Amino acid sequence: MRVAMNGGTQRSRGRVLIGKPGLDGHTRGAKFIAKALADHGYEVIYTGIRRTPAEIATAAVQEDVDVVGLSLLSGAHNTLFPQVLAELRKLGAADVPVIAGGVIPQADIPGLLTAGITAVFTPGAPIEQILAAFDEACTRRRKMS
Amino acid sequence: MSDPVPSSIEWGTLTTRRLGQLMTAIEEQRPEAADVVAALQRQTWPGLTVGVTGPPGSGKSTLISALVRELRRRRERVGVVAVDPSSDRTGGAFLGDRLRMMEHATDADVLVRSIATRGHGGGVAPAVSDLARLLRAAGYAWVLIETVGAGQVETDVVARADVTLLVQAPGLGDEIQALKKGILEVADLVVVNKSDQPGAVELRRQLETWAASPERVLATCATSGEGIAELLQAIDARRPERASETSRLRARREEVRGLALAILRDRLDASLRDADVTRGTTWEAAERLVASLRFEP
Repeated sequence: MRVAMNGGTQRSRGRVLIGKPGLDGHTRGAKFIAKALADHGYEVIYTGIRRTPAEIATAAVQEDVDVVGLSLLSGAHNTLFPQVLAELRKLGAADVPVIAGGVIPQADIPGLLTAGITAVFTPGAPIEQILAAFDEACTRRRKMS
Repeated sequence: MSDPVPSSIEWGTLTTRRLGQLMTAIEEQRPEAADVVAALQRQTWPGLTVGVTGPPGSGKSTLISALVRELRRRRERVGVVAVDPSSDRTGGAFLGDRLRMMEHATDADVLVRSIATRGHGGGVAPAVSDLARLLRAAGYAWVLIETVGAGQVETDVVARADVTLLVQAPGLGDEIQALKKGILEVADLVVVNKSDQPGAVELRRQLETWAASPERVLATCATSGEGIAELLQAIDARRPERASETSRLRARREEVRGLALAILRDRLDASLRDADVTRGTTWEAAERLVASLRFEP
């Protein structure tokens, strides 16, 4: 008899890690997104502030999350976001999509997308759009595996 | 996730990536995990599983982080399984225990996994025992399980762990709260955490009286590390060298009971969705619901 432990009323949409690389301590955005994702049905792991790319990638791999979300407001996104991707690759987790948000100039977004970030959101982005991006990334990855 | 699980598994050589994926497969009871679980249950793996329970805010995560620090000083490899509640409404969960353990984030010999209860009571998720087995098989000789911390009925963890700690702290309500919990009798050790806070001495004295044997009660301050080495020593002393046949059977029975409850709960929730709850009293509706449950082999 096979049991759907994750079935019934308790199905979660997937597992997500919300990480804050860099040196800024502005957690409101990250916590807001984490809460919205949990309310949307995700199991959300929150790392807290000032994490190195290696710390975030290791946590993502140990937790086997479907999507990584990064929040950064310090301006170091062009350095730190690609570093998170590199650390994920090092751990054999290049297939885990990374969605990023924060104070990011429009001009930097194409470069981040080319580097492998799945989507980038800036202040004022509607939460529905952000949740939809997580849903899409999660579904796509679950289909692949 | 895509690569099949090898029939004979080299547990010691599994990468963190693979371990993480296996834990997901076990937790979700994916078909490909069945062989792994069977292999894990065929033997007792070296090491010790410690259950840590106690009310929210007593400092369980911080205490675990301090224990990990001390164990790393002794060059031990440590696995942590931290359980937080799922929302009944959305199925989502905010898994925040890891936040207190980030100092070990890039230590290759420490693996932290956060899991959600996914609707199952008792403070631990059904898969916890198998996750602990997997970690021990993979060479994490110490496995620390952190329960939800909902408070009163977390005796489930006792069956899953070799040694169980009940963590208490001053300032979380009067000592009557501590008395209410059935766990006080079944926990191996009672830890008065935040020993630097006002009321800690009184709380310890009171717990010593109730815990029957005062040497079961220890004081720690997880943030400063005070009392941690002593706590570890006390845990070590309670290591069941060779668990008796009776206690092993009892643990097995408890684990099966927890899993059976998980199955029942899923069935019940599924039937409840279509049940007529409007007829008669709520008692009658509940009895009708139970009578309507069907179990296919």
